[in-house]
Amino acid sequence: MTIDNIMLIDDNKIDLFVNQRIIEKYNPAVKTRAFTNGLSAISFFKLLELNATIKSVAIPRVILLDINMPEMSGFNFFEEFKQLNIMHKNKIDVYILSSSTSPDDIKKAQNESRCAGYITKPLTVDKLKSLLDKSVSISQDEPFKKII
Amino acid sequence: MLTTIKKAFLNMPDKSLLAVLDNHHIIAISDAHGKLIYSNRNFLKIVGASDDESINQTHQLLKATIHSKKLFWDVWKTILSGNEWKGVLYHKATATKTYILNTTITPIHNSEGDVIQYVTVCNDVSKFYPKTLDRGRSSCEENLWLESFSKDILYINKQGKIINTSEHALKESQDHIVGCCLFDFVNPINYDFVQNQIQKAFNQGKKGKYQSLGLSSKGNQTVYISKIKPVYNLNKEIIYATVKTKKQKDSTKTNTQLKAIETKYSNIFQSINVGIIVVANSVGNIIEWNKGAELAFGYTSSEIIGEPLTILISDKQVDTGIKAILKAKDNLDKDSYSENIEMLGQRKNGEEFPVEFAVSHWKNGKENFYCAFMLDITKRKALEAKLTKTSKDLELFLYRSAHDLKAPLTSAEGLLHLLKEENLDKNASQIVNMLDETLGKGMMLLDDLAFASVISEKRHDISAVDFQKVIGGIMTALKGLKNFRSAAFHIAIEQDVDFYFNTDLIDSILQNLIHNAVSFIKTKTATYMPTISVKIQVTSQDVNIIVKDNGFGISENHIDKVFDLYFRACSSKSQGAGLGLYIVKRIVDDFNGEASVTSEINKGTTFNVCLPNLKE
Repeated sequence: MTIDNIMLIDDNKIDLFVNQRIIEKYNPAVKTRAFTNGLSAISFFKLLELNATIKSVAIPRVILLDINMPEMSGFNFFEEFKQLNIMHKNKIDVYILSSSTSPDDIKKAQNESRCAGYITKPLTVDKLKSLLDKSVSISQDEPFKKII
Repeated sequence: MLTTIKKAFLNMPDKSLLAVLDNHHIIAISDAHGKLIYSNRNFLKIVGASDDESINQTHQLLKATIHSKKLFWDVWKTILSGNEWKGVLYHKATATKTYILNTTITPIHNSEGDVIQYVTVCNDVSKFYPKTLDRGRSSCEENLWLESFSKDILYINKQGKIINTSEHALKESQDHIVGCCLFDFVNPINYDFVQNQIQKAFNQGKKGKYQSLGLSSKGNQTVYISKIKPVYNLNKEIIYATVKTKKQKDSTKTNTQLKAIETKYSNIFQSINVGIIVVANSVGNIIEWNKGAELAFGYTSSEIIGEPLTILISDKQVDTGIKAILKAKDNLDKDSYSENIEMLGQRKNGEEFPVEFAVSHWKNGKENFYCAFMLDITKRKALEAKLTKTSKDLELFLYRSAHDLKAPLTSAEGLLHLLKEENLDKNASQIVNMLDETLGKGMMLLDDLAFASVISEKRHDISAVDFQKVIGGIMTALKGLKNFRSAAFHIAIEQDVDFYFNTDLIDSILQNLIHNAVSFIKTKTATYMPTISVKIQVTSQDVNIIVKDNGFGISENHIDKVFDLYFRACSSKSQGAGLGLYIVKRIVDDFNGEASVTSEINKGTTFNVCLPNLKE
C-alpha cells in the first residue's frame, strides 16, 4: 500500500512550506494537508467522523507532527488523537518531526504508544524515503523509527 | 615637794647613790667606739655573759637590742651628736625570754666637748609590757608593711629573726624589718603553729606554710599566705630559711566579681533573642531557656524547664533527631568536634520550622551539661530553595533558549536544501554551501548549550554503558567532518566488568574528545597518515579514556586553557564553538573524575579522562 496522503501539523509556516516541497519532490502524487495547530487538526478529524462520505479520500495515512507548538503541543495532540474513533478504524502512522535532538524528547516520543517514529528537521527526501519506502528503509519492521 | 626630794637626793653620798642605782638598773659604760668598759651585774644577767667576757667586747646589749638599721641609726645619730637617747629596746635573751628595756643612753663629754664614753642605763620593764600587747601593737604598726611583704622574700634564722630581705620592694621599710622577729607579724594565736613551721623547716628541711591576716588602711581584711623554705649551703646544712608571702585574693572580693560576671553573662544569655539557647543536662532535660528560645518555640521558661529535649523536635524527625543529638553528645563526651546539626523544630502550637544548631558541653563536678545554640534557618532554607529553583529555572531557560533558537535554524536549513535543488550557478551554489556550513555550526553550538544545561540532571539516570555502541553512534554522527574519512582510527576497549554511568554523558565526552581529535588532525599526505586512537580501560573502580591524535598539537601557552568555556586554541583549526571540552570538564568535575591533556606541537595531543564506575 503506497502512501498517498500525508498530514502536516506545524505552527511554523516556513517549515510547512519546506516539508510540502520535499514531499512534492519525493512524490508529486502524494496529497498533503497542512494544519498550523493541533486543535484544528483534531477538529478536522471530528468533522470526518461526522461526514462518512468523504472519509476514504481525506483520511491521511501518515501524520508528521511538530512537538513545540502553542496551545497544543505535539504530545498533547496524542492525548486528543487517541480519543478519536477514526484512528481505531484506520491505520494512521504519526511521526514526530521536530528540530529537537534532545534525548528527553526522543524518549518521550518512544514512550508514546501511538507514536510511530521520530524525525529531526529539516525534512529531506532521503529521510522521507527511509521512512516511507519499504525498499530503502533500514528499520521497516521496527515499531519505532528514529531518523536523525 | 619635788625640790625636797631633789635636795635629799643631792645630799646622798655618791657611793651609796651609785650602789642603789647599780642594784636597780642595768648599767653599761662603753667608750667612744662602742667598746664596753663597764657593765654591772644586772647587765651581765641579761646578756648572759661573765664580766670578763663582756669587757672590751662591743656593746652587746646595744647591738642585740637594736633590731633594725633605722633604730640603730636613730640611736647613733642621737648620741654621736652628743645628745641623750631615750627609748624602749627589746632584748631577746633566749627563744622564749625577751627583755623589754626602758633605756637611756647618755654620752659623756670631756672638757673639750668630745664624747669619750656612753653610759647606758636600762630598766627591765618586761613585766609591765605584756608580751601580747606589745606584739599586737607592733604588728599593727607593721601591718602597713605587710602589703610590701608580698613582693619580697624574707630571710630568717632558726629563731624566726629576720636577718635580711630581698632587695627590691622593701627598700624603704627594710630597715624596719631586718632584725625584727617574724613573730612580730604573726597573730599571737598562731605563734605555736608558726614556731612549728619554722622548726620543721630548720630541723627537718621541710617546707612550711602559714596564714596571716592583715588589715589595710581602709580596714579591709587581707589574707596572706607565707611559705617557709629552708636554704642549704654547700655542705647541705640549713643556713637560713626564706619566707615568701603572697596576698591571697580577697575571697569576698572575688565573690562579688564572680557575681558580676555571672549577672553579666546570664543577662546576655537571657536577652539574646536572635539565637536560641537551650541547655540540657546529661539525661536530656532542659535546664536553661533563653528569650530567643521562647520566641522561637513559644514555650516560656517556666513551661519548658525540666521537659525532655525531644519536645522541641518535630514529630516527623524524633527518631533521626534523637540519633543526631546522641551522636553529637557522644562526640562531645569524647571531647571531639561535633558538626552542626540541621533538623525540623516544633513550636508549642505544632508548627514546624528548620533549625540548625551547634552543641557544646561543659562539666560541673561529675554532671555534664550540654548547650545547644540554635538558629532558626527558615529564611535561609527558603533562600536555599529559591536559589535551587532559580538555578534550575536558569538551566531550563538556557535549555529552552538553545532549543527554541534551533528551530528557525533548522527551518533555514530546510530552505537551503530546497535552494540547492534549484538550478544555481557555480557562485551561488558556493555561497549556499557556506551558508549551510554556518548553519551547521550554529546548530551544533545550540545543541552543546542545551546539553550543558542538563548535565546536572543526568546524574540520576545511571545504567551500564555499552562503549561499543556509543563509539559506533559517534562515528556515524561525526562522519561528515573534514578529514574524518581519511583518518585511521584505532579503537581499543578493554573491559571485563560492567561500567555504570550516564550513557548520554559518556557519549558526550567521547564524542567531544573524538570530534576534537578530528579537528586537530591534518590532511592526509604521502608521508602523513592522520591517526586517532581511542583507548577505553574499564575496571570495577573507574574508566580511563585516552584519546590520542597525531595532529597540530596545542602550544604550551594554551594547553591549560583548553577546558575553559568558549576557549578555542586556533580558530582556523577548530570547528567547534569552544563548548565541547568545557562540557567534558563539567561532567568530569560533576562526578569527581579527572581530566588532563598533554600535547606537542606538530606531534599531536593526548586527552586522558578518568571517571568513577557508579555501580550499585
